[in-house]
Amino acid sequence: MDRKYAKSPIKEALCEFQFVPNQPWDMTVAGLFYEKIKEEFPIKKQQVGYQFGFQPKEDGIEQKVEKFQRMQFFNSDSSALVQVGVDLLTINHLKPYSKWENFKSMIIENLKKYQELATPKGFKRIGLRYINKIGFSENSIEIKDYFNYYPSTPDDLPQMHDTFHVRVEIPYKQGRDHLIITLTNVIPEIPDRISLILDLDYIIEKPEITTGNQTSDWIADAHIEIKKAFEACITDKCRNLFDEVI
Amino acid sequence: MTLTAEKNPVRQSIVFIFGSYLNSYLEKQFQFEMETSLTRQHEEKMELLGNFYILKNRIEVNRFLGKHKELFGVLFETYMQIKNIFGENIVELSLKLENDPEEDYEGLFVTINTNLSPEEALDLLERFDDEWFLDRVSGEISSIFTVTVRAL
Repeated sequence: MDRKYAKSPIKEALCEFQFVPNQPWDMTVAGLFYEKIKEEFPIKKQQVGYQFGFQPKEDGIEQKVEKFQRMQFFNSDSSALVQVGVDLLTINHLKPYSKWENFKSMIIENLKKYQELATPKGFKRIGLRYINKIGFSENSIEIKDYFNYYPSTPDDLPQMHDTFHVRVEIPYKQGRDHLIITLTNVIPEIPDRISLILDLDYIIEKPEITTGNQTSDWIADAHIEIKKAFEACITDKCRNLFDEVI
Repeated sequence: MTLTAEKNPVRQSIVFIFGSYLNSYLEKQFQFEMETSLTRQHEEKMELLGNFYILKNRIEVNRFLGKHKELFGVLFETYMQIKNIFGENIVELSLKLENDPEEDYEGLFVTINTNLSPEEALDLLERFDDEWFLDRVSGEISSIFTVTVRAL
């Protein structure tokens, strides 16, 4: 049975699609896409990034730096956004997180609109990701009291640490999918407190998914695996922080 | 295994060579612009900022930048411009959130601690203002972001 929490630690959920293009990237796609979603996502923002590349030359290797842009379209209360970049679509749900059914509809609807416009050949990568932020009121905790997944150091070393970052990639479905689990500390909101991120990213690379139904099924499966992984990573003491709803 | 709150987080020292700085900056930009999670992007930018500035009140700076995300780009550019103009005369660059409850004011202050004389330091700050700051930092950002110099 699904567990539900009154104080859910979900800080952000996102679904990212990287596409195999059908043709060279058309800069007008983002603008046309905005026309389709602007009633739901009216706030436009632009992000600028840099792409690195290396090109062999007679006298060595030339480093190429290319600027690229990504458009972000936020809904009116900034609790969700859609990002469009070169052969990239991401649907993010920020706090307050409503429920999976709503988020899944948002993903599928926006994917459909993007595919109608950009007509990509297929997917290069799909990822469903949940980022949980867990705050503690103490300045020192026994991490194994709260998590079943945590860093381990040899007994001969001091059994105390502060900054840490642990990440593991676990193959699923005979290696077709992977779950990337990251546990790391982040800057807390209150001095001398502890704040952690449990980041669960379920991905498939070079998927042989073609139809909308297959995509919807894969996302639903990914969500089930992420939920299982979340519950597997935390202990009852951690669950108590979230006020489980019985 | 006991986890404790960070007291004095170890941060990498500032990269002083312009070329290296630019590369690492762009590389990092690339990494976090490729990052599609807004939560993780913010954390990576904070980490990068900690490589460039001594963060005097990290928690408050983090909170403020969460509300004013547009300042990240300005802060990275500011670092590059300060390095261009003050060069090896920089002893330390610090970043602090200052507030004045009576005036209902909060804003970020970058302080350039330099080994120059007060006159030389002010001359370079004027050059920094004329060549870059006054053009780049305007409108609402100029009311919440200040760069000062301190001759040690």
